[in-house]
Amino acid sequence: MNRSFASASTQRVLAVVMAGLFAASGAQALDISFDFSTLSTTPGGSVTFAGRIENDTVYLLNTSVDLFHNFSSYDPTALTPLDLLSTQNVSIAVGTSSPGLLLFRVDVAPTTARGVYLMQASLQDIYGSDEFDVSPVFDLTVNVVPEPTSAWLLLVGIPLIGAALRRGASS
Amino acid sequence: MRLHTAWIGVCRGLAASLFSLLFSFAAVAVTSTVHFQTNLPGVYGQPSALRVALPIRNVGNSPASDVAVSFVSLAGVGPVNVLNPALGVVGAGSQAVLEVDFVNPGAVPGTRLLMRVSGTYRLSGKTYGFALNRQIVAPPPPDGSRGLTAVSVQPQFTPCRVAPCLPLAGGLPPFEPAEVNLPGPPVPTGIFNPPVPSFVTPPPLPAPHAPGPGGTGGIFFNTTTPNAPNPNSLFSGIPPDMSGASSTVCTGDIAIFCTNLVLMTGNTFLAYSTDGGQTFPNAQIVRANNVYTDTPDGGFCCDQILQYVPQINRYVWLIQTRRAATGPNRLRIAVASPAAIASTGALAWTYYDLTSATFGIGTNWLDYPDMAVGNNFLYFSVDQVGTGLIVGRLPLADLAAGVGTTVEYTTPSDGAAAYGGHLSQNALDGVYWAGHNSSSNMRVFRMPEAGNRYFWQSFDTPRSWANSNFVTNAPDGLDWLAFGFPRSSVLGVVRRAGSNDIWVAWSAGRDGTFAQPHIELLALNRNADGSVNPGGQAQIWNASLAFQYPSLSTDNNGDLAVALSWGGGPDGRYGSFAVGFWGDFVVYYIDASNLTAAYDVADTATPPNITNQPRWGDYVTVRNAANPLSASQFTGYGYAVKTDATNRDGCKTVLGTVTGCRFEPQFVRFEFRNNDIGRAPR
Repeated sequence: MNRSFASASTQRVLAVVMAGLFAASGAQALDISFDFSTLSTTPGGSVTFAGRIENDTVYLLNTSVDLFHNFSSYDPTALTPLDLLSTQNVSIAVGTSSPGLLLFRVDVAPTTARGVYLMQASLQDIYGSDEFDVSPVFDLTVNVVPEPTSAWLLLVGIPLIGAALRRGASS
Repeated sequence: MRLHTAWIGVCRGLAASLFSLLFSFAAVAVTSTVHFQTNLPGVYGQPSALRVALPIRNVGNSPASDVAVSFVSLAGVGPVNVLNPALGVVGAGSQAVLEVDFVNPGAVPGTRLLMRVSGTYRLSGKTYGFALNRQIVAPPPPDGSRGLTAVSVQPQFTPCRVAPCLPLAGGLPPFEPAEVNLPGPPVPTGIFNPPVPSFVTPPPLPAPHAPGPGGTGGIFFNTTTPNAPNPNSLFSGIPPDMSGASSTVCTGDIAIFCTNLVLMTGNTFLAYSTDGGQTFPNAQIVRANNVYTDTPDGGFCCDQILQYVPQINRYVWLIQTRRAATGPNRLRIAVASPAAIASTGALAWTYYDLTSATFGIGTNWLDYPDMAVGNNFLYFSVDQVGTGLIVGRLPLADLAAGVGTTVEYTTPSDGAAAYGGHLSQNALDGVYWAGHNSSSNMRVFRMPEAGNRYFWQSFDTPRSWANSNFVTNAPDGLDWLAFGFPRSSVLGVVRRAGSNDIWVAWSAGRDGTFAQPHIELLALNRNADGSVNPGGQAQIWNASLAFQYPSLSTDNNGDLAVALSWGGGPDGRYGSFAVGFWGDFVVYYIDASNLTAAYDVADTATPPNITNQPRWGDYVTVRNAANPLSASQFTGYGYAVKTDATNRDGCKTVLGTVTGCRFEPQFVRFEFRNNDIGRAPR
């Protein structure tokens, strides 16, 4: 299920993701500069997307009561996003960017297979609807990587392969 | 053997690495997307639960199917009862309304509570997850009162003071491709009390275009003016928002001109007639830029309202501005006598600016105003967008004198339930307005002229009504009611002196009883202290066509004049304007539309408007004609949409089909002549 989901997800933008950029663009009243649009964790772990919010609305916005995220396009058996803005009390003046914020956390289910998991997120303020006071829709990636034991095997294995290949070549 | 196991591990590691790289590089561009956002929620504070109606809008480019909500919380409290967890299909650009009860949330009115919603949907055969967050504002208590806030405002004066004047060369206002209105909050579903239908209102009859009676009852048409003013001389944006007022009393020096004065506004124009509404010549069309030297906020916009105030013999003209780049805007309320209007060409006014700052709402903005006239006050209403309806008042004596005055107004958050509502006409000694707590519970507000407090009360309506499914297609296949504002806001409100009651009217949707969107009416009986009790409930309805956008007025006989829109349904008619009297169960149209107006796909407004969005409204108007020769005379102000290949601006571009169209402002003067035979008030 998870792997097939990841495969289906390849219909989405990713060249952009690899470049660390975002598919969404355009001058909208709210914007987010993510520190990283791709984060990695292991099954059962979690990642926290962080960044800065740019407030080009006409309102003084407070993270705890005025702003909230929307999430979509993710594998619900693998990912569970949780908005973190309400846990912070940061005011963002009109025409300014916030300091670095913990935006939202994404929990990865323990049974999740390793792979690339995509999701979309946007930001809204309480004053807006539809075209107003919403951010672009951002494409984000959660890489679910092997367990540490597997990672160790990988680290050890690659040199061993190299050694084996050299030995084969020399013989 | 040990070495073999190690090689297996190496291969596994390599496979994982390659797997990850493969998926990272193999991606292609997005083709189908679903993304949900939320709109302004409706909140109903019941004694033991908070019911939230949360609009969930699909802003992606593909429909989401099998949308199902699996988790809801409100600020971490519960228990939660999700009333409709299966939302079904939510098309691209469409919305579904999730309704949830939070039991005993213990929320203090005005506090913000974070609502979390998550679930799944299907797209292209796959199941995806979504999670939404929205701050909910706990509503005011069902009954209460509060003191008015008072602020001083000073008069200003147009350059033109006395005739002769020339229009300022302000040029045309900016093109208004589609007037901005944010969707209002949906009405939460209340307890179901089965509706009892009134008599059916048949398809509207054509009003005679020469003076004469209507087809039934005592209605008589004095003036029916389909092209008023000449539609080729103006474009007023989508939709035109028609208002007007008339007078037959003049205390000025040139009574010959003000005897039969009629003023009419659409979004971007004011036209006046000096022959009782028979003609509105091009030379008698003015725009705000012809009158005022300034360009306040983002410039003059729309949502104009007109009133004639017999007590002070003044017209009052309200125009709303666009938002400034920094957010705020204003209502400009201008005052002039009929004589001044006739002599200066509607160029000389004394005006008062009521800005966002006047109401202490910072950079928030004002939208969708209305006005009403009481014994001693001019009343106005306007939405603080996203929050609630503000209602205020200005002393008529100060307006007549053109001096500095005090504006008193309500607290916006108290009016959340009345969002998009209009004011009671014939306000007398206090104005009323109303909104819906739910589809079977109403909140009525009143502001007595005596004192400086306003009051509100909540009560169950006798019957519940359909708060969803407003779909009704015109013959071109377009749902002419697709635009969601002002939807079920209480637009028709009028007070009758003789029977000491208030009638309210609003647009309702379709259900098992009413096959088409219709109008609900409710009589409210006044008590000695001004509070009300619900009386009879009725409908203007037909199973084959829709009736919406009610406007009400009355006279000293207690007649209830109605203006409304009608169309769609199996009857196969385009959205059009009609007038009549409640109780006749027939309304009359001036000239029917022959297409549905929609936003122009080429519009370049900022922010961009929704393309291919059919729209009608946002209001039509009926007023007492203020004619002492016929107290039962009324004037109606509406419009039709007509095909016009020479005028593409603002008209229809639907699915690649470009069809020009124009708006045809309509004026009608009608009265009840059966009053002469002593019939009972309606």
